[in-house]
Amino acid sequence: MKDLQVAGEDTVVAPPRVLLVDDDEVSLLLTALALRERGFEIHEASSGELALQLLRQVAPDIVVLDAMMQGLDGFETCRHIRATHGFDAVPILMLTGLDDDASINHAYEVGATDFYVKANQWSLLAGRLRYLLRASRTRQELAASKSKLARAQDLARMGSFEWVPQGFRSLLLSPEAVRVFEGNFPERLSLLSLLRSVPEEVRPSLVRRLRETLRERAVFTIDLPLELSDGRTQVVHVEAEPEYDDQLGLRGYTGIVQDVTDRRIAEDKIRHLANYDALTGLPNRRQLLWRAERAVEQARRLQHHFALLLIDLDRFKVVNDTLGHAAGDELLMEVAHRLRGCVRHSDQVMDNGLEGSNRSHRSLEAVGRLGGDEFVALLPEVGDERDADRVAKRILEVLREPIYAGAQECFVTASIGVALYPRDGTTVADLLRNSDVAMYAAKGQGKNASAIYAPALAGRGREKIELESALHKALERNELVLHYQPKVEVRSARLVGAEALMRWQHGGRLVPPAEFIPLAEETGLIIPMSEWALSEAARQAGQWQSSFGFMDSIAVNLPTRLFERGDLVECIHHAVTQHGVPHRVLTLEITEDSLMKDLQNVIPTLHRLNEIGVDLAIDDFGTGYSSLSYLTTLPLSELKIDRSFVRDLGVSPQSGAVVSAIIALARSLGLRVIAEGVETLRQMEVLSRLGCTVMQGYLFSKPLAPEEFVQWLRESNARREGGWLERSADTDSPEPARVGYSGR
Amino acid sequence: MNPSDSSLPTTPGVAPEALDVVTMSRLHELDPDGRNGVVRRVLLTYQGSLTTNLPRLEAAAARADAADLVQLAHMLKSASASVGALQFSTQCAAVERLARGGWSDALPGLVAALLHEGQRVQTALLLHLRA
Repeated sequence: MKDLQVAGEDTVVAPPRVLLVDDDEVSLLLTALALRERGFEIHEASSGELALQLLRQVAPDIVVLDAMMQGLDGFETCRHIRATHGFDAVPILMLTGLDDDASINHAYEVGATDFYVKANQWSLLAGRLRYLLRASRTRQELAASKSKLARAQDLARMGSFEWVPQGFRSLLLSPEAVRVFEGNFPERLSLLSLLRSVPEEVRPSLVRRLRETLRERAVFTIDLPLELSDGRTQVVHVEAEPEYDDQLGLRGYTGIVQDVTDRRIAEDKIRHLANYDALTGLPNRRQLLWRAERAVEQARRLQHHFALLLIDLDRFKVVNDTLGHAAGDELLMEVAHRLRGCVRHSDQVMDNGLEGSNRSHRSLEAVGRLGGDEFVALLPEVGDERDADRVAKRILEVLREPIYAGAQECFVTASIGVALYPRDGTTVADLLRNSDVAMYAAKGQGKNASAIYAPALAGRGREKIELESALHKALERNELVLHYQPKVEVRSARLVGAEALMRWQHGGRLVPPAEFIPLAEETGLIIPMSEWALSEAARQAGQWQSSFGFMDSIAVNLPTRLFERGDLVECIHHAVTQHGVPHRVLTLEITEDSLMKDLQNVIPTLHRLNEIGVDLAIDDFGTGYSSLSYLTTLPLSELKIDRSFVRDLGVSPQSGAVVSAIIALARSLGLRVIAEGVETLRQMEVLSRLGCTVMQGYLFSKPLAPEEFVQWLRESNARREGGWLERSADTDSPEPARVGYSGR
Repeated sequence: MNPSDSSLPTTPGVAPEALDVVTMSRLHELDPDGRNGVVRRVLLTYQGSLTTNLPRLEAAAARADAADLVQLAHMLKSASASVGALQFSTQCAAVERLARGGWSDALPGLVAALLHEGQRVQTALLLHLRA
């Protein structure tokens, strides 16, 4: 019965192919018969020469070769087979009648796998062949696996090594390891020559660690920087573990080396990105907080003071809005550069603890970017607040020089708040909050200044928080009211309109606009508040229309943020229709500054507003630094001369020139012109002479509650006959001028 | 080489069979029902080998060619053992061993005895093949 080779559980494989070589026909015939009987596929060759001819054609799994043959004998045939490409590993069993040592040795020398003494015991021969085939298969698998491993190691830029403590070149690298080092080290080298490639500053700690590892027979793991002979720096990950002999004595270490340079570069990059601000290259918030925590720890341990300076740029938003973000970025970069120069800035990224001397906390000193236009300077050790203040002053000083950004010179100032550990806080959070309080105090005192935290400042901060929360409720509690300031045409002494100004009745007092409008803008509450104002002004206009025939318009100030809403036109439309008044009862006042911020996006909205009959006025005109050419492209009705020019009228000749220029410009564009902030008769007289006859100001009336407004109008009508315009223009009248209203 | 011990002549003075019965029976086991004519093929091949090589042996001895004697004796030795010509195989081994050391005056006598045994084996083969 022929049996097939069975591999594993259920895989039937082809019978093994045997090339049988014997020049004795009888032996050849008998051996072939016996092996076929036992499941082998036999290919016969009656000489060595014939065997070599058949070799490729048969591609045997094993060769059985008689040693003694006429012509090419078994030994020579074996040598030839081994020299044939692809057959260097095929198992060759040499059959011999000779059992002398010389023949056996000769057989092995020429590459025979094994030898077998010729006999008629065919089962033994078949068993030997199977054993050789199994061994060969195992060897092939081993070779394949080894080559796969070598390939995998190459791909992973990994190799192995052995180290024995004795001997001169005690470090033995695998071929893969030699490739890891890109040929910078030979296969055998001394530990010392490897150490020489380690950067000098790392060497002492490495030697220390090696000694410890050996003493404790510990596992050794390290990422090792190496300076290669070609000048490059390589980072190699090393992992090694001890090897023991039979007596449990340390024989040496075996381990792997892996080139992790790329990974290390990537890690460094990630660490840098995680810790540094991409724009300015300064430590970012995360890194700053980390450093601040360490600085607090050190200051607590060593009992010294530590200062945190919060630096906020004063007019950065204006630069960003008017010159664009690219210019804003340029400016921040330059500011960062200058700030660095004000402290002993250390760039070291630190994720681990501080090492070294007691003064190592000095390496925490840095300036970083907290976000936006906010920077922080950390001074890990200061004598007292005067040290911190000196640094703050230096910072203000270096920012004084103009910065070239967006192809033009910009002047940037900063407000700086200083908090001191432990006096102003013992945690980073406290120090940050209190430096913030101090910084806002500096801003409140006119900016471009520094302030050191004091508990009294914090109170103001708290007030602000309370105010903010109250403002949120102001709308729903109907605490907001509109006051109206008359606009007067002085020659005819007639009322020609009013400006609505928002007031907040809160806690039994009238909160001034300067206190809550900036807060409303900051919090976004300005949007619902402005919507309310539009609706309320429309309602008031309707009521006055029916009570005394008011036919003019009420001007409402429109913050830029309202333009950010896409439905501004609908909102206004809703406000007027709700109260049954025409669109023209509302005039929208936009400051020149806010108009310029987003001019291109605002223009379509302005045109739509104009189309539905809403007049547009430019408020605070003359203070913006924009080109005037845009005026011709906008559907405007009115220019309001900024109060600062009016105030100086008759005092500084420049003001007169500016006002006269604005009036001329308005005339040429067909726009109305109105002066606000008119407080004296002298101002009124100059304005009239220059050709501006519509005015608004305390000379006529302060902003009035609606019922006061009606009362004022009634009284003015009664006194109108007095002809106040003819009063002496030379005296500054403390008494409000009178005006009439006839309804146009 | 390594012939089966049971087939060796054990009784002095009695000439053993030229072809060993036990070895022959093993040959038959390769083809138990004789369907493939294995035994016949082997014996015919062996017969052919003897017919070719016995004269070569004789000629080599006449030339005193030790190397040829080694080759021929070696080849006939294992083939003969395989078919049961054990006495002949033993004599081949003796010739091979001696000839390995070069030409010896003892060789012609050994070769003559070998050729004689060869004749005996050929006769036994003829009988077997006719049977």
